[in-house]
Amino acid sequence: MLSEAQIERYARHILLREVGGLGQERLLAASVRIEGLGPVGSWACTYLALAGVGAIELWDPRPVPAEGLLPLLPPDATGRRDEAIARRIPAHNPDVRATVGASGEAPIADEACLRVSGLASARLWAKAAGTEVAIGWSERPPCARCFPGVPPTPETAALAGSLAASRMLGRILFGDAAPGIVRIRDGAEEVLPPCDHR
Amino acid sequence: MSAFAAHAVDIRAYRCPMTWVRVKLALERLAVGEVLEVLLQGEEPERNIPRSAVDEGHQLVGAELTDEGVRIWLRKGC
Repeated sequence: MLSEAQIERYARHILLREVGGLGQERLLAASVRIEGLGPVGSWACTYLALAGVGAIELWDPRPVPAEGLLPLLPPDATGRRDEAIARRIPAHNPDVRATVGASGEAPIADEACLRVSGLASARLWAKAAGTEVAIGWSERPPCARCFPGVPPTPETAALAGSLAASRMLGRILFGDAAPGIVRIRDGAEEVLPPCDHR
Repeated sequence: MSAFAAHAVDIRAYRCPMTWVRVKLALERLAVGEVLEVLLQGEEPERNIPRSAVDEGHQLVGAELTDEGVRIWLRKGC
């Protein structure tokens, strides 16, 4: 049940037929992990926070760039990107719990990745196979263009909650910061080759 | 509140767009076919609330002019 303050804050979302009060409650109950806070990731973080996604976990140990501003951050921000952005989110939306995640732990991202597109990260695949492996960041991680013709199925879209949410998750997870990825096709796993698109 | 209305909402203290926001939130809590009684006042909600409700698939089933304002009844659609 939305509070009086939340009704005021999300009035424009409630007016949307595709969201409404119940949709906003689902957004507030949702969790998202964003790995990589470059221009795309930090803007995605901004929109998700302002949309009222209840829990956002961030991971990007790189320093705040000196050459350009990231959204949500003041010009004099310093330190790690994930910590700097996590500190600022409550000022923009007090409903959002922003935390800094640990490297190599992406259960939310893995689960969302699998549900939305049928793609699973190598870590999740290895876990299901009963194998413990350490997956590092590839020198050439896959980008969105590495996944042609892999639209969300009706089943996976339903699992993800809504098509809009699916698109958001997809955009983040398949962005430049995506970890090593295994494609599952007809039950067979296929490790994606290094990205040749850049 | 009328006997056949499952719930009632008074939006006389609100201005657009919060008038429709309040009605929409109340309609979301109803089961399909249940009736919501809305007490409103002013030209804007009199014109817009029934129209917005019908646009979203609900049904205007009655209206009454009272000393307190205008009372309308909306049946929740699919």
